[in-house]
Amino acid sequence: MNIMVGGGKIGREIARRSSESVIIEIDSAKAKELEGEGLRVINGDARNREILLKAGVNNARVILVTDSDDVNLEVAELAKRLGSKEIVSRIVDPSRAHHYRKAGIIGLVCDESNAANLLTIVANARRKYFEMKVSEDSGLAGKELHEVSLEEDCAVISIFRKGMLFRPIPGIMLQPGDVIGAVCGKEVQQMHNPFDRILVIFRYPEFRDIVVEEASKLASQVGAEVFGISKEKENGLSVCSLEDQLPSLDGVGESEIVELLKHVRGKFDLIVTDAPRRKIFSLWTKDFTWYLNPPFLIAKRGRRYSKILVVVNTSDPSELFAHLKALSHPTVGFKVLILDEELLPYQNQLVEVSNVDIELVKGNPIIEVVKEVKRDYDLVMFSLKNDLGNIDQPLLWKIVEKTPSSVLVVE
Amino acid sequence: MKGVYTLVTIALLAFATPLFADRLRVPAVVLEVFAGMILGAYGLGIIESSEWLEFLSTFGLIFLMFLSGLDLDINIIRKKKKFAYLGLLFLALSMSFSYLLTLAFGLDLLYAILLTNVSVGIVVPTIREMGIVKSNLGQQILVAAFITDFVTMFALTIYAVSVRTGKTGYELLLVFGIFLVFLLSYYIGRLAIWHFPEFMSRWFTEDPMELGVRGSMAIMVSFVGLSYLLGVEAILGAFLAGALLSIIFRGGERLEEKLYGIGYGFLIPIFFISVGASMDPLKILSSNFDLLVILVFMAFAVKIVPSLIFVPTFGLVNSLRIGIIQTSKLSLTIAGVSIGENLGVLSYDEASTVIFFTILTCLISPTIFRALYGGKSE
Repeated sequence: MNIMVGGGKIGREIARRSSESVIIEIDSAKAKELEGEGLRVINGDARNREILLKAGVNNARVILVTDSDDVNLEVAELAKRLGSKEIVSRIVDPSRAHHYRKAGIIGLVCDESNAANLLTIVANARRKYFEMKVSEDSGLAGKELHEVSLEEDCAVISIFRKGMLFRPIPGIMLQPGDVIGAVCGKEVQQMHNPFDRILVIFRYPEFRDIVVEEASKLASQVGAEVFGISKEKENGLSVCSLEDQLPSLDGVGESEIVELLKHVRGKFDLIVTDAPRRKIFSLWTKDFTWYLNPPFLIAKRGRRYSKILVVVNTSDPSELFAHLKALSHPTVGFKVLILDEELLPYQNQLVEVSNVDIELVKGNPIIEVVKEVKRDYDLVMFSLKNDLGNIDQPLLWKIVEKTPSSVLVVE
Repeated sequence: MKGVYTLVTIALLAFATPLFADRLRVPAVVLEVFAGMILGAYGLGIIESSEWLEFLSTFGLIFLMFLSGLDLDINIIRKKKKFAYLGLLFLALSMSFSYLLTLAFGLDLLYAILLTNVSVGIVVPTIREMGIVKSNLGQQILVAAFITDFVTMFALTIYAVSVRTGKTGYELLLVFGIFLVFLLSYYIGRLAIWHFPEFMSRWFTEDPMELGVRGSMAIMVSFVGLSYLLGVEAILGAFLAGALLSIIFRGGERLEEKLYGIGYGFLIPIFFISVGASMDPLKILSSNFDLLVILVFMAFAVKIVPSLIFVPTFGLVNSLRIGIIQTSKLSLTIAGVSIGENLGVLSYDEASTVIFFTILTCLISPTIFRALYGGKSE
């Protein structure tokens, strides 16, 4: 069952194409007009609980196509409380997309004709794959692909043109008749933005500003929330939002932090911490970095990244590339160092990222990686799996310990 | 003047043997040894012993062991821990069984080491040709071969030192001295990479001065020199130098290709041809035939019986395959024979027979291994 909120052009179009649907329209004259067209209509304000219940909101898909973001968001919240199974909305003002994301709504930004197309498919299909046709009069024709804004949990995977399949390169110019294929879903969102909740842990007070600054910059770039650990007299260590207070860890031993990490495992998408002072892998005791589960970031710069080195040292670099994409920005330049010829096909995953310089290592992998990490990058990324076999773990830890760059270690 | 003929003949043979080996589908080294036999002192007498030949041949053996060390792939052993444990168990059983059989047949302990040994140089190309290097079976075969190669190399050195010095503890400690130098060199090498990557990079890229080859040769010769100083077998020094490069750098095909070019392109064929030239095939077949048969029987027994430990993981047929390919022998066995001869443990006839036996395993083992596959790869 689909409930359309708003009986305008888009709502009407979707209701016509979808067999099981009801429109909630606030304007009584318009409601009558729609009824006259043979559509099922409830006249009333969807912000009213009774109206939504009457439309059968429980377990239904709610499609919001009003011309106000405020109304859409308000109805969405109520519908969610009343048990709707999915909420899809057209975003009126693209700058408010993050409000939709925070509310857990699938939001779509596109012009009216395409919105109708896209939302119809959403309404009818249970799949996560959608297609959108670029029509003559749509605002999409003549635009480059990167100018088309899709929601965070959607990614364009193909463009069909005159029977041919094109790769979704950011610079491709859309033409009338093109069919854009996109996938949406949680997994895609994770690919786009692997971090929602970031935990900051610092051991040395002098590094506090750097770590907090770098974590906050990263969080603002990827839209994540930052948390910290602080010591309370009675309850021991606890996790708090960094917005509330700047935590202090004076007098907290590393073993206590390691213990706490066991409790919060899986609750954070990224741990940001300071650079180790002693050898991570010493003969007597291991540094606490050793106990961290990836992904974790060793923050040393305390600023936004402009040069990032990605060392592709795993046979499946998808995770590494997902993090790369999450950090991609027009002002960020990436160097991707591929350590094995067999991994070259994976570079296709990076077609949509601009400013990427991909290089296959020709000489000795260890030496080439060392040469590259010494070239003053803001951030070095690698995988902890390290299953290619041509780089050893001690070298990776040395990069963590010795380089002036921040280091992001992923699974 | 005769020495010049010998060198020219050997150089031409070294060039021609791979061409025929390809057609006959046998390893080139087998043909090299046979060619040596035909043209050597007990054949047509064209190849005569000389100081030059002796020097080049010894250098060829050292280079062969150096490349054996370079072939070691520590990553496979680290990545496949379960296979490494199985490989170690297989080696322990195989070594114990070899020891018991040599006791039963009244042979010297050296035979136990030689029978346990496996040739990585034969195993790798064979499984590569079958397309199974990356399969679990292929990885198990490789891991077992690397472990066996390393341990038997070490065992051979200890054996040689203890026989030469009358089994005193002091000299044996010197063997460990070379391992200490090995560890120290490893750390120095890693520090050099971290602090001078631009310089080290020249070892692996196109460099007109061929810095990589020069550096590798310097390391090899230094380790061989150190072996002499410590009274350890030169082949252990060469082997450790190769292993050192392999462990420090973990890859870098361009340098390896150049070193292979020098070794297999010139020096190593000289060694195998001169080994063949010093053998008397008729004598082996007439007077030492019994020993040859016993060795072949023992070689298969000491590998196939312990290979049954692989049955729960790989099944019976695959376990037999592992056992059979592990019987192939070459460089270290031949090096062991030279050492045995020098130490007076092996008589000239025995030495010739063991070399003949080694060549036979090179031919038989990969052939049976392929036959068990029925020409199919996994």
